[in-house]
Amino acid sequence: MSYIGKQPRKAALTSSDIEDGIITAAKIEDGAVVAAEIASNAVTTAKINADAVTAAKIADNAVVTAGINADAVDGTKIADNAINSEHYTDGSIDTAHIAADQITNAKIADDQIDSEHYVDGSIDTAHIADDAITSAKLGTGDMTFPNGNLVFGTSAKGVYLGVTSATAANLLNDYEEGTFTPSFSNGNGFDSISYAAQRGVYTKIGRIVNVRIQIELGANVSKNGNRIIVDGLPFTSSNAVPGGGLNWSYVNAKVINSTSTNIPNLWVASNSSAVNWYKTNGSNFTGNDISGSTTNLDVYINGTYQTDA
Amino acid sequence: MAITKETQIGKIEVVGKYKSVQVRTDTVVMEDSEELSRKYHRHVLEPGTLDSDENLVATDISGEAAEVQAVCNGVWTDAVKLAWKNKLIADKG
Repeated sequence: MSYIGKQPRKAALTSSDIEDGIITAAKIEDGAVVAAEIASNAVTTAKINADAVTAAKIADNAVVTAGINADAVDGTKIADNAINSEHYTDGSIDTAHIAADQITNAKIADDQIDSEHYVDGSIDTAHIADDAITSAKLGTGDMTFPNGNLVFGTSAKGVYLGVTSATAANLLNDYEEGTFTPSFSNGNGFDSISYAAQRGVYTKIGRIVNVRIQIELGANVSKNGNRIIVDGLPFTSSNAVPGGGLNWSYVNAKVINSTSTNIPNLWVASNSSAVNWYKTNGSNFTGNDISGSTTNLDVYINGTYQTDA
Repeated sequence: MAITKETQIGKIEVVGKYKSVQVRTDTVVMEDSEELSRKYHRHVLEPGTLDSDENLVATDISGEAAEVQAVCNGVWTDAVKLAWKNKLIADKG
């Protein structure tokens, strides 16, 4: 049997029969090399030119997670904008996969964070920068505290009411409720004083003090000719304004049927914590003006006066 | 769990040209370290009163807390006492 050209070999070609570089891509027909003709592990990375494997050469679903070494995919192998939300499953990115400080403002789109995106209590003061909450970030409507009071961190701070700027005359920065112990000033109308009752309550709102007083004398209190004075108001009255009067809530017959035609006026002088008793003609209402025995002389007084602060 | 009640000097305020000393005594009820309630009681101390001869009788502050006594003794100078005495005489009318 004669041959034209080179006589074919009877034995199969081995790689040692093929010189280096003799088989080029141009000598391999399209589709000539199929996967069945490539031995397992025959293609190593050394046999793949740089940039030789493009996305067009990888079949859909050909690369599965098991085919990617741990840490094989790093940031340098992912093109800009290559990963969109459709490329990861819901819940696949948890906090363990986000480095500390990796999410900065630049990575959060405008309006992207709503209240549904953070859990209750997750934003504490440590996560809010100084001066980060301004009035512009508060709603334009009323403000409601769901279950608590407004507490100032510094005493003597308050609220400017009815104005839109810090005007001293509109500042309400003091409120206090409490008790005090009213008493008759010893020697002023009475001597050897004892009591059946001494009760005083006050409410201070700004510079106004409202008081309610009950004093009932005990037995064997003697009278004298000096003006009766009730001591013990809870605050000193103003120096800046004239004194003012308090009112009777109740007096018993010992005052009503006194030597005076009318029950006394009650005067709180400026710079004072005392209530002075005057007759309506301006003279002193003294202990001697009380009718009969002083035992159980019972007076109830209420009213307001002004302080300087 | 222990409930305790104690009184504290809550405020000492010096007011006015006659240096009245306003004292607020706080009564505080505590359960361990938690404050359950706080009530206020006030009184005012002035430099003195007049006797029948219009002499100023100094206010007895011996029963006051040491810190209150210190404030009173500090602000009630002779000049303040004299001014206060003159005011009381003027108020007698």
